[in-house]
Amino acid sequence: MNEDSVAIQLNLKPIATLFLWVTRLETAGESRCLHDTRHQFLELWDRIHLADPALAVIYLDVLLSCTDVNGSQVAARPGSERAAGVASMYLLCALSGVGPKSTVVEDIRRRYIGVIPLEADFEGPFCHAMVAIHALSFSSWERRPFEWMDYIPFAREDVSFADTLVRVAHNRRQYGKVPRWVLRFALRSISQDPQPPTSVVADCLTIIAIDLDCDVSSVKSVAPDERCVYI
Amino acid sequence: MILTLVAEGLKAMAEAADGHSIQRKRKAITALFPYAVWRERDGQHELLDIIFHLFRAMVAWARHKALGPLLLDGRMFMWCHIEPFVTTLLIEESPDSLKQAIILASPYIPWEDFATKEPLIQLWAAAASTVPYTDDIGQSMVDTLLRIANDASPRPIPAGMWSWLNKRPPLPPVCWGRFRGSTQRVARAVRTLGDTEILKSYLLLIWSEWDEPWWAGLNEMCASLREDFNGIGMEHHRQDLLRQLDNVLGRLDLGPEHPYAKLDTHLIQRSKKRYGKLREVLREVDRETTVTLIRELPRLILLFSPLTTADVYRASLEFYVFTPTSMSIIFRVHNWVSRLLIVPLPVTQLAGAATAGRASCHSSVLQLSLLSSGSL
Repeated sequence: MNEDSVAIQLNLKPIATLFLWVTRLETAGESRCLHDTRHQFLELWDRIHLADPALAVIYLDVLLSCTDVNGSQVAARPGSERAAGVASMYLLCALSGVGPKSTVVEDIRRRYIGVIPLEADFEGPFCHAMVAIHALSFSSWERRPFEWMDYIPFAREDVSFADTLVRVAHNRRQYGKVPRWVLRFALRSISQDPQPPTSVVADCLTIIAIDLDCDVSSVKSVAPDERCVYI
Repeated sequence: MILTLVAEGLKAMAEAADGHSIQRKRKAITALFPYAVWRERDGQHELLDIIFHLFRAMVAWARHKALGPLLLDGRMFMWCHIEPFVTTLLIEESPDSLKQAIILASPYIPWEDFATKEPLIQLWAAAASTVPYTDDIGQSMVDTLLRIANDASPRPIPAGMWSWLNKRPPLPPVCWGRFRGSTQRVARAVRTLGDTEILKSYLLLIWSEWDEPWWAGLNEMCASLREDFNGIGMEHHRQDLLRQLDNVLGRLDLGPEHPYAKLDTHLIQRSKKRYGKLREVLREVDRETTVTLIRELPRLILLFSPLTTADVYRASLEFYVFTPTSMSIIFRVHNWVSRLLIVPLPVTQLAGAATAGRASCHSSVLQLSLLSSGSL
C-alpha cells in the first residue's frame, strides 16, 4: 500500500460517508454532474481494501440506496449498478471477518431485514455478493438448497468473491460449520468447464479443506498458483 | 499444498473407515469430486481413488453397523448439484477412465432428483457399453439400473441395458438398487421384457438376506413364478431359483448371528415369511408340472405301442429316464409310431411309477414329453 492509500485508509469513514451522499444525490437525479465524482470514488475504492467492519453500516446504506426492491425482485437501480456491486462486495468483505453474533452483524442484520424480504430474488451482476449477504443476514435462509445456478462469474470479481468466501468459511468454522451455500459455491465453481482461474480453484479447495478440518494457516500466505500444487 | 492437505485429510478419514465422519463431511467430499475428475482427465488418479475409497469405506461401515440401505440414499450426497457437470463427462469424447469413474459413482447419484434425466440415462448407457467389464462396473450398473427402473416417471431405459442383469455381479450387502428394485414397478418392467434369462437373473439378484421384497413386488414375483416359470421346459430355471431361496432362507435362519438381528428381529421374521412364500409358490409350480407330466405320460408311452402296454411304460421310463442322452432314438421311434391309435393306459399306475423313480428323472422325462406332445 503506498502513502496515498494509507492516507485514504485513515480517512475511510468520511470518504465512505461522502461517497454515500454522492450516490444518493446522483440516484435522486439532483446532480448529474456528480457522476464523475462518484466515478473517482469508485476508482479510489478499487485501490484500497475496505474490509473494516466499522464501515459495514455505511456500505449497507450505500447498497440500499442503490437498490430497487419490487416485491421479491431485488435489482440495482439503473445507472447505479457499479456502485451497488462495489458496495455489496465491500459489505461482504466487512462482514466476512466478524462473528455471527457480533454487534456489527446484528446491526446490519436488523437494517437489512427491514428492507430486503426473505424470499428475495436477486438480479444483475451484484447478485452473487447479495446472495452471500442475504445468507449471512437471514439465519433461516442459510440452510436452503441454493445452487448458484444463475451465478455468472466475472473474472476479477470472481477472484475477490471466492477469496472473501474463504474468510467466511474460516470465520464460520470457528463458530460451528462451514455454511452449505459456501460449499456449494466451491462445488459450482470447480465444476465449470473450462475451469475458473487458478486462484479461484485454490480458494475453493481452501474452503473444502477448512470444512475437512485441515489446518490451512500454513497455505494462506502462499501464492494462489502454488496452493494448487499436488503432493 | 492445499491439495496435499486435503488429500491427506481424506486419506486419514478413509483409513479410519469411520462412516459417521465421512457422512458428516459428505458435502466437502462431493464438492471436491469435480476437481478430482478434472485431475483424472489429466491422468492423475490419486484424488478420485481416495474419494472412491471413502465411498467404499462408508459402505463397509454401513454393513458393519447394519444400518441398512436407507443410509446410502443418494440424497445424502450432493450429486444433484453437479448434474450439468456429470452430463459433460459422459460424452463420447471423454476418456474411458473418466466414464468408468462416473459409472462407479452412479449408484450414489440421486437419479430421481435429476431434471434432465432422460439424456443423462442415454449417455450413461452409451458410456457403459464402451467400458471394459469388471465386477465393480457390473455392480454399479445393476445397482443403478434397478434404481432408475423404480422411478415413478417414465424411464427410457434402452432395452440393451437390461442384459446387464445377466452378468449377475455380486451385490454388496447395502445396496440401494436391490432395496428399491424389488418393487412391483421394477418386477413388472422386467417381466414385460419377455426374456426368461433376464427375469431369472433379476430374481437371483434381488433375492437376498439383506433385503426383503416389497409387498406388491412380492405378489408380482409370485405371479411371475406361476406364469413365467411354469412348464416342463423351465425346470432348470426353477432349480436355480429354488437354490437361491434356500440359500437366502438359510442365512436368515442364522438368528442372532445375522447382521440385521441387531437392528430388528421383526425384519428378519418378515423376510423369512416373504421368501418362504416365494419358495412355497415355486414348489407349487414344480408340483403342478409333475402332475402335468403324469397326465402327458400316457401319450408318450403310446409312441412305443408295438410293445405290450405294461412293457412300454416300464421300458420307456427306464430307457428314456435313465439314458437321457439317447434322444435321437426318440425321433426315429416317433416317426414309426405316429400313425398308431391312442390307447388308454392306467394312469394311476404310471403316476406311482413316476413318483417312485429317481428324483433326477424329471428333467429327461419332461423333455421327452415335450418333444412327443409337440410331435403328436
